[in-house]
Formats: sequence, C-alpha cells, structure tokens
Amino acid sequence: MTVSIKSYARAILEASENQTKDKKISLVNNLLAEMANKNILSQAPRLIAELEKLSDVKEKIIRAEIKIARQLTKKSLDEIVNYIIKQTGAEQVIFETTIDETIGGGFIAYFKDTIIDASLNGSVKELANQIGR
Amino acid sequence: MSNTKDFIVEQIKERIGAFEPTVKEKNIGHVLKVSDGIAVVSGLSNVRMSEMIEFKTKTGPVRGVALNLEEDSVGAIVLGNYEAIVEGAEVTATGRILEVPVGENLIGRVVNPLGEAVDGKGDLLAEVFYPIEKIAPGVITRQSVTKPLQTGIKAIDSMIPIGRGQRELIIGDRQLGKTAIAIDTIINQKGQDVICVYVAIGQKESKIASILAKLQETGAMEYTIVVLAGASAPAPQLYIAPYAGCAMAEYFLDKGKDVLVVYDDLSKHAVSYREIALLLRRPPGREAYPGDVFYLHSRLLERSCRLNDDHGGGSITALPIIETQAGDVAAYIPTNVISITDGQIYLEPDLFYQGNRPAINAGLSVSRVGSAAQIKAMKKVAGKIRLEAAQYRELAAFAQFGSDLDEDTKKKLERGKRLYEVFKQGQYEPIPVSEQVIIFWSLTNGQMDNVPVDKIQQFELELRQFLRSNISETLEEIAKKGELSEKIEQEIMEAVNDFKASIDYLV
Repeated sequence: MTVSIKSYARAILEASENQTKDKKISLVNNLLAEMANKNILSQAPRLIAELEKLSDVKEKIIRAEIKIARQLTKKSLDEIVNYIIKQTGAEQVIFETTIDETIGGGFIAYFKDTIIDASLNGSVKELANQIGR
Repeated sequence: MSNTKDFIVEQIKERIGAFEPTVKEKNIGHVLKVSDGIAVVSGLSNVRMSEMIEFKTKTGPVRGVALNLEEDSVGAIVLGNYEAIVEGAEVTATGRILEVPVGENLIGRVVNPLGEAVDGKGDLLAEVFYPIEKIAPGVITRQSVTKPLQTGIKAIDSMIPIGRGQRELIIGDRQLGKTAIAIDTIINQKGQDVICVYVAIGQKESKIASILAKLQETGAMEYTIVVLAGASAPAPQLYIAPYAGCAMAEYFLDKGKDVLVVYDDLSKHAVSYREIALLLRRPPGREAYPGDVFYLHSRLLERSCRLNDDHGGGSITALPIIETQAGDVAAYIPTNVISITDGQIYLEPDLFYQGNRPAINAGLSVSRVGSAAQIKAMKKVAGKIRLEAAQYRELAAFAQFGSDLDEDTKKKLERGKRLYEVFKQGQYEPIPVSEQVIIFWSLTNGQMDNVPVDKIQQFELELRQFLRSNISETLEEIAKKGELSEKIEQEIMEAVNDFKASIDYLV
C-alpha cells in the first residue's frame, strides 16, 4: 500500500503530541528510516510543507498574500487582516503584501484555495457584468 | 434638448449609483494536469460533487464539472476546448450545477449538449436555464400511465403499446432499424400536442444529417428539439447529452405538456462514461465499466414520468436505444437498461433478413404498461394478436418438418402468415391509429383470409385509401372517441365488403 506524504505528516504530528523531547526525536528518526527504506527521502521538503499546513490548520493560522494598489498604513492593513480573521475564523494571519497598481484600489487576498476580492477593478468588472445583463 | 440630456445623464447616474459593491469570496484551484477532456485540479476544497467549475484560459473561460473529489485534488470533465487549458491555470468553483438553456425557443433547433446552437440559424435567446442533474419526481407527484402515445407502427401499437410517461427500450443489433422506430414515432406525433427531443449520442454526423432532413421534410421539426453530441465530440459532451436533453424536456413537463425523449443510444453513453471513469482512475468493474454505471442510467430514466393533475399532468416518455453486439441481450449494459425500463422492443436479425420490417420479435418484446396504454378500440381488435404472432412462429418452425397438419393448425398458420404481412411497414410511414384498428379488425374477423398472402400489403394499402375516401367520418370518430361501438363495426364491415367487391385478386 502506498502511503501519501500527507498521511506521514499527519501521523508524525499526531504521534508526537504530548510526548517528551526524546520520544519525539525517536519518532522522527523512525519516520526518516521508513522513508529511506521506501526510497522517498527526496520527498522531505514536501513533508515539511505538509507539516506546516497541518500545524497552521490546528493553530488556526492563515498564511495570506495581500495584493494592494499602493502602500497602505498599518491601520489599513490591520483592518484588512481583521476582515480576513472575521471571515475565516482564524486566530492569526501571517501575510505578505505585494503592490499591483492594476487592481485600482482596495485589496485582493489569496490564502489556501480562497480569493477575497475587494478591489476596485473587481467591483468595476461586476458593475459591467450587471449592466451588461 | 437640454431636458433629454439631463434625463439621460440622470438615468446613467441612477443605474451606476444603484450598484452596491460587494466583496467577493471565491474558492479557487489550479490545474495539475489535463488530458483527453479530463483535468486534475489542486485546491477547490469547498467544491461539491457535480458542481460547475470554470477554467481560466487565454481564449476565455472554459466550463467543466467536478466529478472526483479526492483528498488532495479534484478530477473534473472539461466541456469545452481542453487544449486551451494550461498547467497551473486558475480554476474557480461557481457554486452551481451545470445548467442548459431551455424553453420554446429551442423547438426546431439543433443544439449541442451545452445548449449552444449548432444549426447555423443564429444564437439561442433563452431566458430560462435548467440544471442538467435533477432528482426525479417523487411518488406523490406521479400517476399511472394510461394515456397512449401512438407510434404509428402497427406491430407496436397493437402488441407493445406505449403510454405517455412510459420508458420503453428499443434494443437490437446494429442496422436493424432501432433509430427508424424512434424517428417514425417522432413523425407520428404531428398534431398530437407532444414535444419531441431527439438526443443523438455518439452518432455519425452523416446519419444525423439524414435524420434532420427527414424530420424537416415531414414537418416534425416544428415540435422537435435535436440535441447533438456526434461521434467526434469528446466523451464529456456525450456523457452530459442525455441529461441536457432531459432538462430541456422537463421545462415542458413543468408546463403540463407531454414530451417524448429519444436517447440514441445509451450504449455509446455508457462507453463515454467508462472512458471518463477510467481516465479519472476510478476502479473498473465488469466489462471495465465503473461501479455506478447502473445509477448512470437509472437516474436518467427515472426522470421520465407522468405527473398527476395537481402537478400539471404533464409527462415525459422515454425511448432509450441500446445497441447489442451479436444479439447478446444478456450483456452488462443491455440487462441494466432492460431492468430499468417498463418494457422493451426487441429487434431480431433473422426477422430483418427475412424481410419483416420492422423486425420486432413479438415473443421477446414486452410493454409492462400493457393494454392500459391502448385505446379501447385497439384493445378490442388486437387483444389476442400478440399470442397469435408468437404461436405462429412456433407452429411455422414445427411445420417445416413437413408432417401432416390438422385443419386448426393449418388455419392458424394461414392467419399467422397474413398477420406477419400486416406487420410489415415501410420506414417513415406511420399509420393513424383509426386505420390500424380497421386493418386489425379485418384480419381478426377473417376478412383477409381469402386475400393471397403476397397481396396482403397491396390489399391493406388500397383498403386504407378506400376508407379515407369513403368513411372518413368513421375514422375520425374512432380516433376521437377511441371506441368501437356496434354501429361503427357495422359501418366498417360494410366498407370492407364494398372494398372487397371492387378488387379482383381474392381467392
């Protein structure tokens, strides 16, 4: 039976919960030995990425990319973050901002497989859609 | 002038001012791989089964349907040009089931399974859209099938009557006239207040072109919609075609109308689904079909129904077609569809090559609705015909040994020969039910016993012409009331005797 990397990540995370440091080291060693046996050690970066994802889900952390038209004040960015927290029920939002003037104004947030489009460009497109109907 | 300008400006301001910008949240994914009309997409964690998705391409959005929801990915069928989709392309969930345009505008048109016109008569201006997948009407909304749907084919209307709301399978090998029966039935619906939907699944476009020409020539396109998924269409289009056709029929059902849907054919539909399922890496079962191939057809055919008067009283009659390989009706798909439908019309190669057309095998063909879907007049004259036809075939096989036969057997054989001659009927020549009643009346009352077997078809043709020109009112009365009173029988007898007196080939 093939075990997915996601399953390995979930298993190690569940098994090492509430364990001592030594036990955790032993579990990690066992996992790496198993992966070496199956010749899938090259998948280690994917395993780390999966561990980060699972950990984020457990701790209700969202990693977002926020696209804005121009540099915003800290207050404005906090408002955007609070909006995302309110919409998603997350406890923490770790974000990176990118400047994209083509969105006109407002912001577009990308996280997991979701897009929140609060941009001026998006609103204009929606207006055009409504008038065109 | 100034007032007009002010009014226009005011209108523009009002229209734009009424717009309330909203923050849009979209569930997205990215294409991992695309092949043969199938795409595997990452993300889309909130997408639901059978939900419509949109692929972003350089040439505009391409629609698809999510079919496989897996732990890390979503398998989807692509309903457009999948070659335009590139790896990594953004995919958006729409939150809606795939919909097709429906309505009166579609009548007389040829559309593809997405409801786009393919007949070169311009775009369709449909305002109403129906989802292609819908749960079939429940038991409370239905009523039993009692109203006949005349096919105009003597062998069917007499022995295997079809009712409005019934599902009658047409099954047989290739080139035995399955489509011809369905097309004749459509042609015969002229003036019967029945809307027809012909769904071509994986058929050669040349065949469809000739069917279209015939439907146009006979005026049947005035009440017919053709849904075309030709042999060159990708498997996803073949897969959705019958559901799209059914959705178009459901619009008229909701309006309380009677609809006839022909699915030509469900064997190719099952093959297209097998192709999709294998590409989506679903586990293959018998004949490599996926495990839910029964549900594929049962959920489609259950949507055929006759609603009760509280729910509009409309009906959808389904004529699914199944092509068998070397007469093997016990194969996987044929047995599935036989068990789903309310009867089957089995076309037999031996009968076909003996010149009996339509080549309907009276023994293996059955209508589970039975005489409930026949007018009283037909019930009266054709009650025992099915039994006589089956008995004749058995006796005919026995008589080949050349042994001496008793008078009764000889009589049955002679009657049987004439019966099979009466069953012979040309393609695209449906016969009105009132004329059929008189033909069967003549046969069962011995009026054809002194007509030579090789003259039966001539006799029948001339008799029908005679009836139309001499007792047209009686014919109308039979069609209208559906009954055969003593008075009408007397008129028929007189007319048949008059006709027989005018011909010279009686023995």
